[in-house]
Amino acid sequence: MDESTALHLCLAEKDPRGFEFLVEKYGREAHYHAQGFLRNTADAADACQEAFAKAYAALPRMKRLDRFYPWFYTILKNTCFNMLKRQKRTLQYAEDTAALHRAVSKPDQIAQQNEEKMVVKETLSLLKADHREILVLRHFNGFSYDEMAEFLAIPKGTVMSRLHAARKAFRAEYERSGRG
Amino acid sequence: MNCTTCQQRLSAFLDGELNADEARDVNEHLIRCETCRAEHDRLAETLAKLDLISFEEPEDRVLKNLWKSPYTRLQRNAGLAMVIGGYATLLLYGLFEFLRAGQIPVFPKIAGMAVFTGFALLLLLSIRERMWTRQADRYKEVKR
Repeated sequence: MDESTALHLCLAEKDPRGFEFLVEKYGREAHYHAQGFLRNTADAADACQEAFAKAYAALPRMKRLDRFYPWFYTILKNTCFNMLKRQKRTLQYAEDTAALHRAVSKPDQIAQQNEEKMVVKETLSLLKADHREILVLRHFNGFSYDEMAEFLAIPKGTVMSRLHAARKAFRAEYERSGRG
Repeated sequence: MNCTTCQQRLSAFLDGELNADEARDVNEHLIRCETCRAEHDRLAETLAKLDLISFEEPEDRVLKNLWKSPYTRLQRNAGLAMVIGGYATLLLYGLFEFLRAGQIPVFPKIAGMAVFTGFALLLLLSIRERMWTRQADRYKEVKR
């Protein structure tokens, strides 16, 4: 089965096997992206489950869909943002940040877990969600500027300026943690 | 090209996303401007670090659950709809037969009808109240 057959099964024949294929194909990628927005794998799994459930409920109302993932990504992103809002309300973010600074100040502990990658990941988690998002798309997924513009539905010029701002923000956080 | 424009374009320059003219302008500026060259080198270092972005590999069990969830939800909702639909039909049928039965006097029939109407009224009132309070519920997003 390929993606267009799966979409046809979902849209025209309301056959759940089409959706099963799409979840299998994009589940891992969705999990990575959710990890980019959220701060741990458990939250990422919850967000993916919720987003796939929303997509499954919304799919029968779609008349036409050429590519599943860009459409699904919007649902996933909104789900992650809602989860972040809830976490903010419970002051989780402040606790995470405090814990992170404590962790970053203990390089001997981090060294055991591939230190540099760990620090990059932790620094990334301190950035604004839209900065994290664009850095992940560029440096993890390797998207070109045109691909990012299409994926995020923003002009290429905005991609350029947002990416630049995100990199500067990353560098500032990296240096603030005493690593730069 | 001034320093501000050059530094704004450095990201795209390093990514190879500028067109030939823009890239040449940035390159020429970098040759003669030490400040922008230093910024270029710092940004290149940052990019090398960002290329280390990685995520934890999700377990197969987690990936399988991504699908199980909506599928189970569909089955559960279908089951729930059948139970509620069947129960409501039986209840209405029982009431209909109860009211229609010739050998039961009118007084218990009126009492039975009152119990049923009262139950339906209370149900409607609690649904309406739940809907009103939900609009002002500060904790509605809290997971239970």
